[in-house]
Amino acid sequence: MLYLFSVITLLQGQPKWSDPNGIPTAQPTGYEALMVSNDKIWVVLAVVLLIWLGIVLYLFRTERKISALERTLEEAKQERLA
Amino acid sequence: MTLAVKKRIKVGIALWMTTVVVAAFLLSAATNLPILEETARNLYFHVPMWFTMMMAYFVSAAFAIQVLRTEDPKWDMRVVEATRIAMLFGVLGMLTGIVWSRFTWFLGTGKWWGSDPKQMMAAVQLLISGAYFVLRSALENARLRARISAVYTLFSVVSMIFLLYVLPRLTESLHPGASGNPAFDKITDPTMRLVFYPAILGFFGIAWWLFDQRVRLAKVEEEAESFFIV
Repeated sequence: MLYLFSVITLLQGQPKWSDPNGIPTAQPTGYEALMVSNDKIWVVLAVVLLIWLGIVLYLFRTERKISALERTLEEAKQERLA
Repeated sequence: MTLAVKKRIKVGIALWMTTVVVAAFLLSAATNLPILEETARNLYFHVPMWFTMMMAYFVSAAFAIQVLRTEDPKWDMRVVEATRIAMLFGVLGMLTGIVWSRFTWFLGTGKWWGSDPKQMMAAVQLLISGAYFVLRSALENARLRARISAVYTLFSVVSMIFLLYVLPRLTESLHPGASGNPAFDKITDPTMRLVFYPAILGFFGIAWWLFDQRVRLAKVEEEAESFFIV
């Protein structure tokens, strides 16, 4: 309970979302301008790519582990026969 | 479930998710919201990451209970793999949230991280989840390792409910559902749910697919080890 209480207290001093000074008024430049173009569809692409690559990377990791195991088993079987 | 049945289900999952992704980009509902604009479509991707993480955690908790009840090592192996999958989706959810917020909440400010309670609590939860693997590496005795890490899993699932569900609703936040924001169902166009719910199901399926792969890998690893001992 003390832990929860301290976390909630820590969150008290944070800037409120209704802060008028927090609204950005400058025009986006550089990569930000690229990402927000076309109604920010590129942000959607970035998110989907992140998920896709993350899953594919994990698939490849598991694939490599399986292949390494298969190789070891093959070698062991060859040794047994020899 | 036989291997053939599983294969058919996996093909089905692949087709389902392909349809979901295509529909996510074709359906034009509610994509002209201020600031969000087209990124409203991220709803179909970012949010299911967290739903999937939570589902994987609940599954690992169920396995953890089995570990404590039966002390059968096969449950311990499943707890590990389920936690691995949960971490994968948690990290993906975090990364996608950071990218999404960079160009919506923090547009023009150059910030990549903010003081949003849900985001902070999610980061804390990911640390708690990561510590599970650190804990396991510290314990040598297999039986002890299984039992202690199972208890840790149960603790971390309880903390997840608090950090991701209870705390963010108590404080001000830009995430929907917190005080100062309408709840998720009030702002979501009904047409979006047509893609959102299938997306959740599809990602659940992908999580199960990855989990099944890792379980098969763990089984083969065990067999290979006993092969060499003989």
